Amino acid sequence: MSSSAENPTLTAEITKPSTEIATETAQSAKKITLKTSDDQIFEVEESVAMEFATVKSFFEDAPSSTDTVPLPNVPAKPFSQVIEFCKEQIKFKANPDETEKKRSNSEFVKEKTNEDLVEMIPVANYLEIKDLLDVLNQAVADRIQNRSVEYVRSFFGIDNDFTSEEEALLREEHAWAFEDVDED
Amino acid sequence: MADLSGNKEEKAGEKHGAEPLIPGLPDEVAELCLLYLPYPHQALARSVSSSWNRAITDPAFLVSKRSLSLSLPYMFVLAFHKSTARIQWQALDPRSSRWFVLPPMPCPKTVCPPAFACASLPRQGRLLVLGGMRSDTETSMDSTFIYRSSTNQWSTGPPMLTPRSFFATGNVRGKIVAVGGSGSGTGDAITAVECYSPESGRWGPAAKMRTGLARYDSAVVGNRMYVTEGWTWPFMFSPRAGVYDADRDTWQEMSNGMREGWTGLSVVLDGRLFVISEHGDCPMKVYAPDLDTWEYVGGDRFPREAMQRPFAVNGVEGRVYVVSSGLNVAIGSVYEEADDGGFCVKWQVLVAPKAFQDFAPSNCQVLYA
Repeated sequence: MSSSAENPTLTAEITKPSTEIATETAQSAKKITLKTSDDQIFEVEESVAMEFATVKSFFEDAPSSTDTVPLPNVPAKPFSQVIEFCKEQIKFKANPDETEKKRSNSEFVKEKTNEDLVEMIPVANYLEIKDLLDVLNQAVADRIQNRSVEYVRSFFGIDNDFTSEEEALLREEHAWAFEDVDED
Repeated sequence: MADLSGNKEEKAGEKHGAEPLIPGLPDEVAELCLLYLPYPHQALARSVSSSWNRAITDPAFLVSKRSLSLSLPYMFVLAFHKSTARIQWQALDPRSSRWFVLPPMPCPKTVCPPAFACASLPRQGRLLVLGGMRSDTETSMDSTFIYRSSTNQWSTGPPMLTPRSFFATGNVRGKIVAVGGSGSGTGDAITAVECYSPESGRWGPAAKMRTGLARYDSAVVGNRMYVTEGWTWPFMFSPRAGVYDADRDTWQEMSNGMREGWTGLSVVLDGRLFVISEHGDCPMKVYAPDLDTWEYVGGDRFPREAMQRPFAVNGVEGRVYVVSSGLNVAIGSVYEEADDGGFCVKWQVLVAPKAFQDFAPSNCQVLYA
């Protein structure tokens, strides 16, 4: 999907100051440096970065690496939201509480725009964060269910490629379902 | 995977090329969003684009949905208008209490609603409506109508070997068994039994009943289908009954205790047989196989005030669903009491929308959709 060159070695680019520091905790915690597709540098606590299966396997192959990890498919904006989610998630690892986790997850998606959700999905997929992918898919499904077909198309930017005859035929099959949809 | 799509969609596929399901997402990820859509919105979403239609209609979609445990139980209720006898299927999502009206079943216009028998293949999201009676000619029908929840469409299946109305049917280990009923004239009790295999898509004969029954209630527990007339007003004749063993394809007598205590509509939960009694305040009873007796279920009284006859009953995952006239639904959560191991029930009533007030239920089925 990406055409960017994957170069795991340290480059001069990261000497510019980090635009975002993803953690406020003690200096002693080991940090992992990650670079997004739009060349933003993120310093992420190791425990958070290990939530990204893709990054985790990178370090399994090279345990002592201190290199910056390039994330060629990950833009900074959704990535910072993904980090926010994973920071919450690791709290539940030490202290499992399904009810609280559910509440926290629904809180997380509630304040995100439709665009935020759709942008985070490929990031969660690329980084292989299964819990987040489940949460996002459910959130998207929740937002488009009981909506008109037109709403769903504009939600995702999908072109209607049916002929008017084809569409009329499909709508006829379940005309009943259009009686009770939510306002767009 | 798109290669498996039906011929109907192929034309559209060629015309538009392989459009992504959702721009910017790999199709396998986008498909997950579609999988999370609950019934019936999935079927509705087929009109978003031709690639959505293809993905949702693909048989592999249902397999993925099952493997992700995203299929949930819904109650499908066959009801008829009390004055016009117009029939209508609707589905209840018990989690949201929302009802959805299904497209019309492709049956003759003038039918006698309670004459149909219904069964389901719950995990495949398929509903079967069998036989029935035309009210204009008073002849029994041999038809098989199949509803698929994944596409929200009806189709016509292979006809039964015997036209029958007012009979019993059940899903015994994945096969649909049709038992007895009336044939062409009144008093013409059928003893023939037949069996539909969803794999082969064919009806085949099975062992005959010893005697036809005047009316039918039935329940399937394990590999057995229990069929009885049940005790009913005016309580003049002791009910006749029989037990079909599907593994051996034989009929046996029903035990006395079971037959005598079967005083209402049956429902099976986790292999236990319950009845909602027809008499009095509709007490619920459970059959105790070891003692061959029925025991009253403790806990709440049945919410008789909200529930007018006729009833249709089914159950799933520890809950009994009783649908009443006007399609109010009493949901009974059944639990075992810690100390003596007896069963108790806690009732909750879902009041139906006004649009259903003139409808009466004649059957209730559970599908995972």
